[in-house]
Amino acid sequence: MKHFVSLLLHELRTLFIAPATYTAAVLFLLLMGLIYHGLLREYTLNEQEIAPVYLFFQLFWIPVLFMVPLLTMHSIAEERRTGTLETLMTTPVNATEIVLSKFAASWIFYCLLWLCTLSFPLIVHLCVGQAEVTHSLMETGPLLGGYVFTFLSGTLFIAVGIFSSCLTRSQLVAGMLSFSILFILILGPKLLQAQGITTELSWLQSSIDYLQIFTHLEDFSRGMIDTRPFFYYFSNAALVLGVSILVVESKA
Amino acid sequence: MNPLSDFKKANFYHRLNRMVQIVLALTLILGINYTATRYYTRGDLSQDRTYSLSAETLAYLRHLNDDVKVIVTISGDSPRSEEQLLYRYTRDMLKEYHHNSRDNSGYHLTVEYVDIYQNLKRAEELSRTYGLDQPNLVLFASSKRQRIVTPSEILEFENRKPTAFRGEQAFTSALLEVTTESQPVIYFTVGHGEMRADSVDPIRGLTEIVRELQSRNILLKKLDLMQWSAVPEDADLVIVADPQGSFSPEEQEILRNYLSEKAGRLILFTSPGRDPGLKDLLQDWGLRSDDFLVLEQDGHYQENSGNFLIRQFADHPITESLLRNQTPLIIGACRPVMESKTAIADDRLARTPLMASSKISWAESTWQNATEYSFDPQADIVGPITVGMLAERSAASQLGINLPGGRLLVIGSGDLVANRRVSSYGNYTFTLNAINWMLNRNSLLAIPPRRIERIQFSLSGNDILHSGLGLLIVPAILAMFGVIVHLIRRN
Repeated sequence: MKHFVSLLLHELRTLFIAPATYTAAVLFLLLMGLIYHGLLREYTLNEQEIAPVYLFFQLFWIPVLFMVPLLTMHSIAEERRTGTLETLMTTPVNATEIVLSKFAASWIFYCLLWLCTLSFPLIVHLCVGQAEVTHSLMETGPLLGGYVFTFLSGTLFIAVGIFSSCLTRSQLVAGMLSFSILFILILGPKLLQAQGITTELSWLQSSIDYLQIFTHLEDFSRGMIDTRPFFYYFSNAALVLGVSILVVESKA
Repeated sequence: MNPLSDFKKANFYHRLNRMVQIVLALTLILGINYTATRYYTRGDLSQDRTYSLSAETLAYLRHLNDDVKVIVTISGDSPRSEEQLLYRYTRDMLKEYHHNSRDNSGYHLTVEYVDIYQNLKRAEELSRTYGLDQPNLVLFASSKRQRIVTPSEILEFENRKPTAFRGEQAFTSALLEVTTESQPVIYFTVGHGEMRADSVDPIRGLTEIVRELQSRNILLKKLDLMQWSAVPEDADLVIVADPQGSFSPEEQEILRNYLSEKAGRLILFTSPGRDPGLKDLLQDWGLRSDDFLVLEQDGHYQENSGNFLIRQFADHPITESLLRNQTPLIIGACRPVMESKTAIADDRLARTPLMASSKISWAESTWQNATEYSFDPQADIVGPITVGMLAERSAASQLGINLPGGRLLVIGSGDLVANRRVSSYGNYTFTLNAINWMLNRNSLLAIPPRRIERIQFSLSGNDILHSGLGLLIVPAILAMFGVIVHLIRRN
């Protein structure tokens, strides 16, 4: 794994000099800013019983569904399309280092984007200057829990994006595949419950509850940190990355 | 050997190897996740540890002596905001109950959510097994008994808005009720024309309140003091429900001994025109209840039908919810219950007037003979007239510490708990509060309610506009960086 750091730095450099990255980042922050602004309006017009931080993170899936495919669709697919993957595989680096470096770079960038949203309550505090507003927006427990959740769940989402990129030479196909898998992962259990299917198959209920990403989010964004999601996201990210490595090895 | 078949064989084994790797990895992941679901922990980072259970509840959960099933019929999809709030708080609280019951060796608390309108099959099963067929209820069931918790026990309201969540107190109480080995026992005295626990009569029957007490796992028995030389040992509370006849001196003595020697609890309902023959007992406890009739002048303290509305309450656990929610009691004819002027001074005796009529009411002494009533300052008592008094006596120990002793609650109307009245206004709440307090049920649980925080920003249009513009700063900075990077790359 001695080449991992070099590859990681290379990937990060590539990300930070790519105009597409900035386009995606600006779109992400504009969208999240719009959501945040909407929350401020909602809390001004109507009394709410939920912390604003909790509501902010409830909509995490909107940017995830478009950001993660955008970040990851080119990672392996582009290398395969241009033939640079085969060249890379002839060097002393192995498929594990390649996949992990691309995963780590994408995840770091994903976390940095989310960390940029930490500026929102600070900006509102500077613009408005009301102590009670700042206190509600900067409630430590839910804020910390929400960000821990986004970083944690990001490991699985980015891993899925990398895996999708491994399967095809086309960035577009990789992006769509990633979007579909993420959609099923994030919204699938919720839709199953909404349809009442889990009530018919009650033995499935506890498994569905464990897979429910929104349940994890609700706990974290209230400030309740549970160890189960850590195992869920890390182990499944490891599984997906492992399969990605196998795919890259077989394709290269 | 054919190189092609060698290659095919190698390819086959290569693929098989891959498949086995994937299957083993999958099995490992499943194993890790399964283990994680059984051995996990949770931490509360919220301010004031809002979602953590109290030490009391944790202690009860860790020493569960029976499996407890909790069934929640509150729907999370309700369009009503109060029901959504109720669902959210209940769900979050019960998660902690379930989590903390895992440390218990052998017995667990499981939670099931059932939408009785969507899941008809399960709703039917619940109705058959537990008699649970209403929405917005939480059922606690063990192998011994069950208890239904209603929304009014879970949420506190002020001006029709939920202000506090009392779920932990309600749920832990219910947990205790369904898992404790013994049930509280209330004895209703008989033999003096009392109101009857088994009668559905609207005026003299008590079946409505009896049903609620039984649903709270309280055992109800009859007590004929003519056949007993003492109040039974298992009596946690004795209720004398508006006797039409009088207790004999021997019966009165039995009750006095019960209260004084055994730190007993007694609730006496007595109405105008009756002499229950317990004057000495009341005197013993610093109380008196003359056969006067309370007459009300204030329209605010009267209902359209002429019945009284009691609106003045003490700040006491029995009446604090009525005081806070400004909920009156409705009663028919009532008599005063007051402190006795001739009571012997006793440091250990504390008397609390619980409820009273208005300032412009009075207690009429000659009501039985008069056709018209007018206030006579010589004979009558000017208002506000106390119609419910509580007397408590603490027992002294050898260490000089005051221990809880007997408690006597006297209410000047039996109508309060009659079938026709008990479900009206705050009568039911008052009666249950009084019984729970006399039984020490809620006072064992010093679990404070959680305030429901209501958040509303007072931002002006300018504030919102400036905030919106401010939120554009970060994406603008990033866009600028992007342009700079693009220009540098081009050059």
